[in-house]
Order: sequence, then C-alpha cells, then structure tokens
Amino acid sequence: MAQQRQLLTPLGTLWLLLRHEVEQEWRQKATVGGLLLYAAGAVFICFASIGMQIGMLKGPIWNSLIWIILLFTSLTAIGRSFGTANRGTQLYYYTMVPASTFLVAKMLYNSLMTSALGLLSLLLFSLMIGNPVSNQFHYILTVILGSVSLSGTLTLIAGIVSKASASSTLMPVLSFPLVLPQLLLLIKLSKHALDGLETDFAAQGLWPVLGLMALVVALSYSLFPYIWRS
Amino acid sequence: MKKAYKWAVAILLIYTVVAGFLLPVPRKPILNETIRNLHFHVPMWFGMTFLFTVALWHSIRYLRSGKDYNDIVAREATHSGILLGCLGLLTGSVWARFTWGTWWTADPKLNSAAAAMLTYLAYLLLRSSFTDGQQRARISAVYSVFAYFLFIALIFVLPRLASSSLHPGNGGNPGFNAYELDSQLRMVFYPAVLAWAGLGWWITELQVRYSLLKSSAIS
Repeated sequence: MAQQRQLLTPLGTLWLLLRHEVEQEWRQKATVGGLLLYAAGAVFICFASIGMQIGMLKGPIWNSLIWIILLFTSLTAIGRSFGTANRGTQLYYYTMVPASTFLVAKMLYNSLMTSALGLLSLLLFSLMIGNPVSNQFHYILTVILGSVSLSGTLTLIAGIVSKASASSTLMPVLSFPLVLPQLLLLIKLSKHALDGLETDFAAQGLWPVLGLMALVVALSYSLFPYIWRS
Repeated sequence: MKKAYKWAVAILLIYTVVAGFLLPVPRKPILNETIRNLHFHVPMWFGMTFLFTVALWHSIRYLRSGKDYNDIVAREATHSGILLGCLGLLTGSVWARFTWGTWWTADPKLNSAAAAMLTYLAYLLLRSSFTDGQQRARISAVYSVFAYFLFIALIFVLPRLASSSLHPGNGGNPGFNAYELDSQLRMVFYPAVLAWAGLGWWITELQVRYSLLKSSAIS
C-alpha cells in the first residue's frame, strides 16, 4: 500500500476517491433512487398545487419555483454526504489521503450528483409544468453552474454539521442564509436565460456567479482541513 | 490607557446623542429631521461589521493557535455584533416608517440585512449543538470564517448589483456621499462611528473578562 501511495499523484488520488464514491453509491441503489424520487415528487407537488395545468406558470414564478426545488434537492442530497462512512472508515481515509483532496473529491462528486438531479428536475418540470425558456442552452448551463456552486457551499456546511451532535434542522438553518447570495445571483442569471437576453447573460449575470463560486471553493479548500482534524 | 478609551467612548456617545439630536441639519424634502438617523443607524451597522471582523480575526487566530482566549473573544464579538445589528435593524425600521411609510419592504438591501442576521443567529445555534468544548470552538471558528465572507458578499456586493433599491446610496438614490460636503453632518457622523464601534468593543471586552473569570473560578 505504501508503494502504491507513492505512485499516486494528487490527481490520481482524486480520481480514485471519486471512483470509490461513485461505486459506493452504486452499491446502495436505494439512496440514489430515493433522491431521484425526491426530485420527481417535489416537481409533482408543484404540478399538483398549481392545479395540474400545463403552461400556467409564467416567467419569474416558474423560475423561482424550479430554483427552490433545486435547492431542496441539493440540500437533501449533500446533507448526508459525510454521514455515510462509519468512524473506522473515516479514520482510514484520514490517514490515507490529505484533507483537501478528500474535500475536492466530495465536492466534485456532489456537483455531479446535483447537476444530474437538477437536469432531471428541469426535464420533469418542463414536461409537467411547461417550459417558457427562450435560450435553452443558457438555461441548462445555469442549472449546471448553479448545482456546482451550491455544492461548493453545501459540502462544507455538511462537513460542519456532521461534527455537531446530530440535529436535523442544523443543515438547513446554516445553509439558507449562506446560499442566499448564490441563489439570488443564480435566479438573476437564469432570468436572463429565460428572457433570452444573451448580452446580459454573459456580461452581467455570469461573472458574479463565477466569482462567488471561486470564493466559496477557495474558502472551503482552506477551511476543510480544520474540520477534518477533529 | 485602557481607562482612557472608555472615557473617550463615553464622551463620544454623549456627544453623538446630544449633538445628533440638537445640532442643525440640512433640510431635505421627505427626509426632514429623519436625516439624524445617519448618526445612529449607519454607525451601528459599521460597528457591527467591525465586531464581525474582530470575530473573523480571532477565529483565524483560534484555528492557528487553539487558544481558548481567541474562541471566547470570537464568540463575544459575534454576540455584541448581533446586538448592534438588531439595533441597526430597529433604527432602520423606524426610519423607514417615517420616510417610506412602512416598517419593512422588499428591498435588496433590507433582505440582505435580514439574511446577514440569520447567518449569525445560525452561528449561535451551531455553538449550542456541540457537547465537546474543543470541537465546538474549532467548528464554530470554521463557520465564522466561512460566514464572514458570504456576509460581506451579502451586505456590500449584492445590493450594488441590484437594479433598483429604495435605500439611500443604492439604485440612484443619494447616499451619504451626496451630503458629505455638508460639514454639519460630518461633524457628528465621524465621531458617531467611533462611538458605536467603541461601545461594541467595550461590551465585548467586559463579556470576555467575565467569561475568563467564570472559567477560572470553575477550574
């Protein structure tokens, strides 16, 4: 094992961790299935509560509703990302890989998962409730960008919460105010995509979102080792 | 020296209240006498930001050194920051009642302020959900550092990106800069900033000393 460790570059370790994460998830299909059903159920609740009329929701409300669904799905998906491994396994990881690599692997995995869930929600939303978006490509891009940037914040918060004596309200209570800046910027960006304002999308909306995402990822990267140590 | 700054804060506070209410102010339409809130609402938010910055500084220090003292200062600075923040919300709300005609309205700056308060209230909840003292200190310090930068994004960046706002200084409304040439306001405003930030630090310092005494009495 020691020899194998020497052979692995940081990028190799990252890839190994990421693959391990996917494999582990694949083994417990119930959780993935649960998340898919969660997203589908949330969309259906929205559909039912607007009276099952396709194409009734317009512009801004359609937009904010889908972001609320994306937020709650991501919260549920990421909230359990540090709870799955037991103490022994965690200790094993701790001795084998550097904290920052572990965090990046978790973040990448969470980004992949929330992006998939986000795109699925978007698809279901379009099928059931309708799709008033003018620039589909930009909207899909925003959903992916949003999933990645929400994962950045939520992964660190999940790490924080996993150390607290389990409280189910702690995750949302810590997350809501902290994701608010990102969420508002994302809603604004996706509104540009919705209205088909190409120049506004690229010039005004995109940079704040990317900037905040970079900030959050850099902060998580430098802070996570302190959570990991305890 | 330590006593000197307390005397200074006390004198500045008395000056802020007396001069803030009695000195002549520029007559502006709609604002009228409510412009005096500049000496209370705005410096309180400045004081809150100052205290949260103190909390950030000591949280970073705690993560590096692991000294209990840093944890206690970070906690108490956050407490008094929240106190000043609540006072800032209150004074802002009263002001809004008399200029906008409502206690609260859907405005980017107001919503950011509310979210900022929620962020730091969540810090209190986080602190209370640990049983192990060291763990609590470390994880809370991590949260505090993380929250501070998003707090800055909320308070200083987001409202400026918003296209419209009622709040002075945003969305085309004149802010303090427009009145800055008015030396009457400046004569009270700058001392008021020092006074409220100083009061916040004074409360923090007392609480820190009280906590240290309590912990030394226990051990």
